[in-house]
Amino acid sequence: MGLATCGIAAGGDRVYTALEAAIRERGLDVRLAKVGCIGYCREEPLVNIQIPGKPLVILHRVTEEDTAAILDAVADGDVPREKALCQIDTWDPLVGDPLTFGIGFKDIPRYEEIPYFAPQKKIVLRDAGLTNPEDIEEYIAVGGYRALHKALTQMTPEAVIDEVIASGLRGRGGAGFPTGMKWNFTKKEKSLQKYIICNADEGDPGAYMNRNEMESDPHMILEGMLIGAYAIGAREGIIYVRSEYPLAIERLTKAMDEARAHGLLGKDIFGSGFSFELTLAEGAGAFVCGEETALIASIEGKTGRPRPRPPFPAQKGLWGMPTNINNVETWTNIPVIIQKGGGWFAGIGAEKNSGTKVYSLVGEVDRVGLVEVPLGTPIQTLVYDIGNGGIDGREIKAVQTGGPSGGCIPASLFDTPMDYEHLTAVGSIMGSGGVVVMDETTSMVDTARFFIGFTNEESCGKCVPCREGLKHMLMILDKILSGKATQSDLDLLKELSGIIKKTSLCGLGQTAPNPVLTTLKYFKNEYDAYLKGAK
Amino acid sequence: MTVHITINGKEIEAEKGKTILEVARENGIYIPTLCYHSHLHPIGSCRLCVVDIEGYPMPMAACTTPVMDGIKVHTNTGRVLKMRRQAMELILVNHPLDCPVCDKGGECRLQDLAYEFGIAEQPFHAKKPEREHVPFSTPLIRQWYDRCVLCLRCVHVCHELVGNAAIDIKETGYRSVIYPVAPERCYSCGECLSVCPVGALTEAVNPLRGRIWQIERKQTTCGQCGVGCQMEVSTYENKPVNIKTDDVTEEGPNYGSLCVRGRFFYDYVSSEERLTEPKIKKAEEWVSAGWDEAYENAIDHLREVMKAHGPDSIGFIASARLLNEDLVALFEFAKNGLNVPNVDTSSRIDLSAHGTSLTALKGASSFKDLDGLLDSDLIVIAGGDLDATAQIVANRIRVAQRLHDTKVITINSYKTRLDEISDAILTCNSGTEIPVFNGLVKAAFEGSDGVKKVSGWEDFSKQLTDYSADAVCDAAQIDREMFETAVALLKESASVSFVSGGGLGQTTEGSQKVKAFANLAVACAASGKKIGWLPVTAYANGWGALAIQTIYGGGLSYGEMIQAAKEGKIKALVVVEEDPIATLPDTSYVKEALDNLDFLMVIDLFETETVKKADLFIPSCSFMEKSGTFINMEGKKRAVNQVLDPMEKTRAVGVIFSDIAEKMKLEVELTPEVIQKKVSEILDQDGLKTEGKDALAFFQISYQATRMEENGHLFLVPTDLHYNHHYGTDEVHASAIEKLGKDPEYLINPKDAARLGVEDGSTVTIKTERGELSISPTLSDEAKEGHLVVRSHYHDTGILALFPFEMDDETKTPFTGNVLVKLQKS
Repeated sequence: MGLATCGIAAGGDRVYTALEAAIRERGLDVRLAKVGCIGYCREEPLVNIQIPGKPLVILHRVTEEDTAAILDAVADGDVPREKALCQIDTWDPLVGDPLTFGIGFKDIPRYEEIPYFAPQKKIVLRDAGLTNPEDIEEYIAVGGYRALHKALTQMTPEAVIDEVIASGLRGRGGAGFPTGMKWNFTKKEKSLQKYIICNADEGDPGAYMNRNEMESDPHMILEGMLIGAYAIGAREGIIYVRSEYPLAIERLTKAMDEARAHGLLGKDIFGSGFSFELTLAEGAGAFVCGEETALIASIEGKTGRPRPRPPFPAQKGLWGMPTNINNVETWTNIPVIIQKGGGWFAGIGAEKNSGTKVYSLVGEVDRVGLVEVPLGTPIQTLVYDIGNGGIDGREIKAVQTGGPSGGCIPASLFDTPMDYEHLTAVGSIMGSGGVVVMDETTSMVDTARFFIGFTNEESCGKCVPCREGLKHMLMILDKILSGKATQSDLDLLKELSGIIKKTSLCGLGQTAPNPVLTTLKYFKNEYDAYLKGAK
Repeated sequence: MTVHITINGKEIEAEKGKTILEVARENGIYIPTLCYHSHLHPIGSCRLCVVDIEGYPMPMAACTTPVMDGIKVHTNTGRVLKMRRQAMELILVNHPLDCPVCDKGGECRLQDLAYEFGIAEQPFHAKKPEREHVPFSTPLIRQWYDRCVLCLRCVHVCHELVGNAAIDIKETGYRSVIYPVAPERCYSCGECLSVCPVGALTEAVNPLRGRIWQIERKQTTCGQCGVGCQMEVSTYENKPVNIKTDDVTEEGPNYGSLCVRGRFFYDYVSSEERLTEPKIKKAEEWVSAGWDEAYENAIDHLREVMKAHGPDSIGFIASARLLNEDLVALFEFAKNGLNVPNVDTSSRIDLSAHGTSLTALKGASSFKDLDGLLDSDLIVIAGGDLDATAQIVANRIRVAQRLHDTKVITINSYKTRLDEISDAILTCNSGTEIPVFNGLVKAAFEGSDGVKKVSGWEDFSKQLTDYSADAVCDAAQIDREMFETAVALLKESASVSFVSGGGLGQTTEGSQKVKAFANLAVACAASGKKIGWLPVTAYANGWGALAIQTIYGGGLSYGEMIQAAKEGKIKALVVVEEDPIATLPDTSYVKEALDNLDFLMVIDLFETETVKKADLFIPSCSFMEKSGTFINMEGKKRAVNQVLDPMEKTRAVGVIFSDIAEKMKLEVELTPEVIQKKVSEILDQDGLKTEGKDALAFFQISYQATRMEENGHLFLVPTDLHYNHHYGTDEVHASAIEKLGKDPEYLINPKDAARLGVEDGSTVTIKTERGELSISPTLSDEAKEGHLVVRSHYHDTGILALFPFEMDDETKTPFTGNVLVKLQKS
């Protein structure tokens, strides 16, 4: 049963309870387990049926009423065909031996044939929706912790960093800084105590990549952090999760307990002499706490506000000690890089943009869900091939990438490859991977106003341009929407955007005007239509 | 390491690690700033200092961007000029134009910047956020929400320099507001007020106000404790209206910082309670007298006693906060004019124990200035809550830690604020400081070769056999891991500063405690470490007074004179700006001693408890009303400049004694020139005389373990008693004190409270052999188990009455003993 937060929201927990009761009632020899989410959120609740010797079948849009039919079929060694989404006969968990489920059910389409899955490449989400996130044995069964073993017993910390550098992995939190280089900064610092932090303070509206990564495969994060700690020379780590993610917190906590019980956290791991402890810190919901220095302040119990750099966290971070911070998705990429090699990883994706990226494809798009594709995949692949265009055939107007401070990219530019450089070139950003789709019914001015409203609320208030500037941008946008604005207001709006972008203290302010700047650039006509006397 | 950069085309060699702003300023290149403050970590909130760097797409904030080799900086491109202007426009949107009624008018950074930028109108419209108004973290400061530009200097200074974090920003975005998040942690030091660039924080102490163009402002040295802070007194019509440090921020020892006393207590000097006329007691009633009459009364009485009982029956007790010039006049008058042997100062209480300790350290590579703290790898603090007694020293320690990663060891018998940044907190049982010091010497240095070459080691090392780590941790009840950390820090640090508060020298076995602490410094010096020795002095001129009384020598000490008065051997006493009743232990004993006198003459500013017992009173004036010198805790000479005319008829102490000497036609000459010459004979140009180097030496320590816990008894631990007399006589008349309240705090450990059945805030009686007192203790972990901690800045708590009158064998310092009190529920 797919039971990440999305599955539960779709009613998966009720289905789970119904299945549990029915299995008990019928006395069936069926093992009911929880798995994470495979990413096809529109089709939830999802139920995976695995009959020995037969392919794994994913059932979709399952309700409590379906339980009888499902169990009837399973009792006969079959699955209810009308509920079947697709079948998987073999699966490559990349770091372990390939799984062969079996053959059969010729009439059920194969996973690879489903348009939603076909263009995807699962590295980060390779276990998501297939393994039980609350059972370390399942993670180990698909090759989990082998990379850690390899790193600790066969590699020097330098070799680990070299492998990460060779992979070309870039930070998945948004800025895209090369991960291996970042690790080296902290490694180079001389200090008795160093920290690593997993930034799981995912705050972009509509973005839930990290949530699913934590809920579906928490051990992959732990393993990535363990390898990173070994390479950097840290003995303590902290996962900073927003408190709005209770299930992620629950599963991470369970994963840490299990890892500790298996000797994978604590002293002398794998007899290598390497020791590492991991704790979890809960954030209190401030968007700006995703910024590294604000995040550190928050863990230290202070108000989460960014401070100028230098000193960088790599020099003086948590409690004044060298600290390396990576995003959830960055950490989850580490085990596969160590196990398969940096060269293998570098072969995936685009130039200077190796690997895959997970996106949350949301908004006015037909198929919503979590999507993992190689970096460099054009926007149109996401929107049309995977997402199937607009709902009820409506025309797509634009996508907004990179969270509230990303930009709106018009449909005319949908051939833009989604990588760090190209998205910046069209005025948006990669951000953490939110992709909000807007169709012809959306007012782009209203959209810009929504995002400025968000960043204005979430601005920490420390630096002048962000604090005062965003408020005035919002006032001008309201004036425009009320039809009272003139051309000079538009000019001021643009000018303010430039000032905020260029002079703000942290990434929040430096990117916050993007929705306005891109909509002004690509949808100027919509602004003009609101101007005084235009109608 | 240097790098080469250009700013506006000018080639500059700059120190690596400095910011563009710092380098520009050093080279006379102006970049406007609002939030930047040279003593704080760059804040980066105002964005006025943006500059362009060739090859960089974005302008950079000069205050936060370090110089890098080869960069070409431009401070005045069209783009950055426009950005600064717009940033200023945004800052000004919500700033009210109440400059005409704002205290800051005329010296406001925002006013200056708006003028500089020529901003007469701007395109934005104000939108005032609704705000809840709450009292600021101290009643001495008023917060004006609308004037705040959220530069965050106040927040940063409270966090970084003061370490209190009493204020912070609340809310986010444009609703952000400076808020007292932890008012209970606020010391009312006013550092936030002092760094506020606008009028968002204003002083709420003194109804007297003066604009910059109405007042006079003059630098002087604060006379309220021994730190010797440099400050500027603003005066208007011969009254002080405020204290500023804006133009002395780069001068030590305080670099623009002040404590609550220095910044806010200044108006006691113009208090209406000042006594301004000489008074003679006739038939138990005060009668005002003219100066001549008063002088004659003094002369008659002194002559009478001299004739009847000889010069040995007369004593002079002077405050160590008098100027060197006052003290020399007094000593000349008494010693060489009247041939009275008994003249002493309150530095006896403050510093005697430390005076002797200096001799052992002469051979060390050492420093005694507060700047040395910043070069220390390790700072060891013992016997004092520096935040309460010498906050400036505590601030410097926090700066050392922030900028130089200096480690800290704290050794006290109660928790202090500096424990929060301490790497090894050794909270020991009252009276076990000596075992802790000895144990540290033994554990860190016993095996090293360095100490063996130092004289006295052989005997001292024999004493150390009893001080194994186990024994010490057990006796002192300190954490073993903390002890080991302290030992490791002592071993590995190349430069170590020792800061001692009054809790060592002014308590039982004070001289031995100080010597044992000094031995730790000697052991460090013997191991090739650079050491700093910084006793905190309560009196503004502690070291000066000690030097002067040592030069004149002989006679009975302060405490011995009181004892002799009690025994009837001293018949006449002249007490100068001292209040023995409020200072010495065993209040009733001291009162009886004073009652026993034939003649008591008191010179002071206010009617103290001692003044009440006087036969003759002569009014003197405060440090703001005279010129001269202090020797501060660093042993440095600090200039005291007259900023006010003496109030009404009051006279400086030096003037009073030269007047009387003249009237008596004594053989001494006390003209300012002669006094000046004498002072320069006793003191060096810069401060204390530094004599030739002696060899290092270890002291032998005598130590008697005191009785430990007794059923129902607690150790009475006064935390900053050595300041009480001081507040008690002068500053208690400051209007700020009325606002702050002056009730003492009694802290009891919750475990003791449970054991003794004491509830939080309930009234109990504490009893010693000498007396009893009714108190309401607060349950707090800040009190160590077995201890009753008293926090008070004022003399009238009554706890001095609970201590017996005892003096240290070596220094003759009357001390507050290691007293056990019995606690009874009322």
